[in-house]
Amino acid sequence: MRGTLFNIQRFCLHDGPGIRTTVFLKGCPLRCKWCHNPAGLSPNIQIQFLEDKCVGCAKCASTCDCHSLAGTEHILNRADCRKCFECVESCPSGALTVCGEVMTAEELFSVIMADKDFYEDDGGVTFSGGEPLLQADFVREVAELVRKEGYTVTVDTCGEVPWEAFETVLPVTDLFLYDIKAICPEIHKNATGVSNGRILENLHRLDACGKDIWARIPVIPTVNATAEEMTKIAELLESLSNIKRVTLIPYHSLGHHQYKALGYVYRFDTSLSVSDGQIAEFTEIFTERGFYVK
Amino acid sequence: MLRFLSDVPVFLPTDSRIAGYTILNTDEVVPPKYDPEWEISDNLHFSMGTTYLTYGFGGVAERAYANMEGKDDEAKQTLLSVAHVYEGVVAYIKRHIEEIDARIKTASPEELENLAPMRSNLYELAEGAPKTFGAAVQAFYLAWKLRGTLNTATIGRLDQYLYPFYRNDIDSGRLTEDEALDIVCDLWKRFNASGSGDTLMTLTVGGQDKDGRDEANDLSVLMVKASCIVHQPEPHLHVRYHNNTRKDFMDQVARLHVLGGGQGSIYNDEVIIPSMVEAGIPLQYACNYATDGCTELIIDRKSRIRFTNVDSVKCLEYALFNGNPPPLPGPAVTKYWTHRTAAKEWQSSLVPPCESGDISEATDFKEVYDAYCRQFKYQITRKTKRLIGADRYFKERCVTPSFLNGSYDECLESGLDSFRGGLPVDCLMMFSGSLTTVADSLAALKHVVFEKKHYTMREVLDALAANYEGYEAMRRELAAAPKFGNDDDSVDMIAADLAQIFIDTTKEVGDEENTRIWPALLGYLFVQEAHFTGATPDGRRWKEPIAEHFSATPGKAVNGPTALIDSAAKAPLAKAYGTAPVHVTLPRTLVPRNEEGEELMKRLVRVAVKKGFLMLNIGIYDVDAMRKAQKNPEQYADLIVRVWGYSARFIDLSEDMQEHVITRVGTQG
Ligand code: SF4
Ligand code: SF4
Repeated sequence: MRGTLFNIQRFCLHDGPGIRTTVFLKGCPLRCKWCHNPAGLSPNIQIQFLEDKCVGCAKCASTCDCHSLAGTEHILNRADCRKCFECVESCPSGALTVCGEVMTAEELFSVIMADKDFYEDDGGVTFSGGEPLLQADFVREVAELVRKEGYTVTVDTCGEVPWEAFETVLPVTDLFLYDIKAICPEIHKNATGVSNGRILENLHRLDACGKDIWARIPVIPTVNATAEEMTKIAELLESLSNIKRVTLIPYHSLGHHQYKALGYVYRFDTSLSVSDGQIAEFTEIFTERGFYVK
Repeated sequence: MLRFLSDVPVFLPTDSRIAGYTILNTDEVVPPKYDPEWEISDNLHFSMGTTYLTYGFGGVAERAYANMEGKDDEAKQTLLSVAHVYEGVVAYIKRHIEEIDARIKTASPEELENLAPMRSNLYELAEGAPKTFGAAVQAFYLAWKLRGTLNTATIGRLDQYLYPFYRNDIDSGRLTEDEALDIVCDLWKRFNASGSGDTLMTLTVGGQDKDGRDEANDLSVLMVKASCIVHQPEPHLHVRYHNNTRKDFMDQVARLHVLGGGQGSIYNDEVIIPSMVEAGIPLQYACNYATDGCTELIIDRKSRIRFTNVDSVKCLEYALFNGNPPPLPGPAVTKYWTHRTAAKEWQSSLVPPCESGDISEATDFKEVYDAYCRQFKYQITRKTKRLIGADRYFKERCVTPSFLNGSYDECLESGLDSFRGGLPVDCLMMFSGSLTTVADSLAALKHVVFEKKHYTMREVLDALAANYEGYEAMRRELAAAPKFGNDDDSVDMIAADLAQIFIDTTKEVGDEENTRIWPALLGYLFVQEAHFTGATPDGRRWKEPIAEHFSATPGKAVNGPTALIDSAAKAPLAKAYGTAPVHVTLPRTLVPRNEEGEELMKRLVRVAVKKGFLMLNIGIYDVDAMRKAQKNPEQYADLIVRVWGYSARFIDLSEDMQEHVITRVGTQG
């Protein structure tokens, strides 16, 4: 079986226990306005243009009409692109690259195994994205191979997938990282494009299965960065029994130039930020309820 | 030396219990002139002996007299000079005691706190061999300073030779562990007062004996602890690791690692000792290895060292241009390692190049590769022969300072000079570092010229001669080709093969000359080499950095430390028993200064050792590096920072985010 991914990062220390390799799969059902990883949005392979690497040599333009140069400024007409990636081959500077790659389960497995000596008892692979459970069958196949070698599997999910996708990976997953953006449905819909009914339902069902869960909460100004919303999240988590850790992730405008590279427009306000004081305040909301915040 | 000793001023520090000067004012003391017939030589790159700990300074003189009996004239002369010098040291110590006695009368209670133990230690040494730990430390410090006179020297396995004194004091209840720690910290501060940086002050802790027993002892642990507490650049602490190393010792080492600063480099007994034994060094000596003043290995108190270097990247330039490289774009002016020294013009120490073949019309990568191998082997051969020649010259023409000779058990017994049979192991070492940059360059040619056929060799050579001016597209394409350090066989295996060629060629030449040559994958003049070597086919312009030792070219290992470790492990590191350092750099943001960070350090060590690393150095990036990264992003592509729920390459971050991360790290630091 094949999967589509856009990055494999070795030596990750924050996506689960120990030293891990994190696999970023393509495709996501949410459209969080602040998304820092736009390469994960589309399920398809895309062409990526890095402006500052372009030397204006026009080799791409002589390969394909989608490219043109106005002076030294490179223009890409994505609408007509057939994704043959000949232009990428022709580009000498690395300005044109392919975002995304299709791999078989065995291929991915062998990349993950490159770091097996580092995993020791607790490390292994983390599937992230995008939303890895959009490719649940693929995740399962790779995870089975990894588990057979005795290493651990973590799935980092936004929860907005059919419950069957969870069922597919449950037997081969040791830990879930579960993203929670908001409890209030309107806030959620406004910020991510979808309501959170299924996400919360899946969270409850997952919790009932007894698997360890680390809750990951992006703290986003103008969205959920209020004591009120954080308290609601904390109360929800309190009603569950397998939340082993809570991570607060403060908003930053990181990645917004990647939008441009992929032909997207970044719509969130880059001038916003979360203060250390706010993070401390929100942390308190969770720690006073007995959660381990990290 | 004797005359000199009577001129060296007495120095009693007010903030320490260890007597002896730190830095000599050269205006005050004129070093002695020696008999011009003989050249006195000591490169300070190997550890001194410790007879003075066994017999005391006076005792060494007595033994030297006694051992003269029945020896030939040269040995008699040697021993007589030893006796005189060691008597001079006793007199020197007595001058200290007199000075203390004069001072004690008017000393305040606080001053007495230092002067009293100082006096009792010195008194012990004036009378005979040290018995207490304090006196042994004092004896070491005096001896170490007198050996270096105007410079500092290698320290060696201090935890081993001071341990009996420590054990004795602790067992008899004379000393508590905390008191011992104070003494060690005091000594560490004195080291730092003697200068810092390229000082040769390397100290090796831990290790195993010939039966595989762990030699890391309580004092070893204490020394690492002292380094954590004092947290200054000196001494350069090097750690010997093996599979039975005691846990509390490695725990302490991990604590040192997370402090950053690259202290606590790991040397892997599991590969070093067998490799030395295979090269013919007897096991009992191999087990006693230590680092010299830098990262090369010596046999502690049993060998000297002499070395020379092959500039591998300059060799590449020679090979590409068939022995006739184009002129550099400008003078190769740079500083040594510190801004304190003046800039000067540098040149390669290679011999004049051979004509290794015209490859400007090459149509096959093998032609290029073979030309490089010819030039490289030619240089290795010539330089190895020169090294052997220099060694013979020194053996015939030079003598060891008597003070140093007398410190070695073997010399003191036999009367032989340490140059001429006095020490049991010879250490002649050949270096070559930066092979990884050569591999990057060859791989780029293979990929871009011979596989993709985007350019011809001729075009690339023209671009190199022009320092890539007018060839930016080509430069970027070459720079984007596979690079060492990313677990990519297409380039890693070239580096591995070059390392093998270096090791084999030094051995062949050594065998022909009946001399053991220690191979080392190291080069300490990499900054200079980057200046006296023009542009290279890896996309590097003149003066831009080349790799250090067997590490990745700066900024080129972009897949994290595990990939870098895997890349390096493909090379025959274990065979380069002179040393084969690999640097792994981690961002401070990934390595918290707590148990989590320590656990991570321990893992990296465990894995690197398991993969056959000979030496591993872990550096942790800090604000400083990030500031540099802002100015030269290309060279810092491997700098990873923790951002929010994940990590990213620093140079990929927006300016504001960079500022943010810097501020965050700054407040942590
Ligand atoms: S991928 Fe193919 S069709 Fe698309 S821009 Fe490049 S060359 Fe043109
Ligand atoms: S080929 Fe690459 S470098 Fe040249 S103009 Fe096109 S994008 Fe820019």
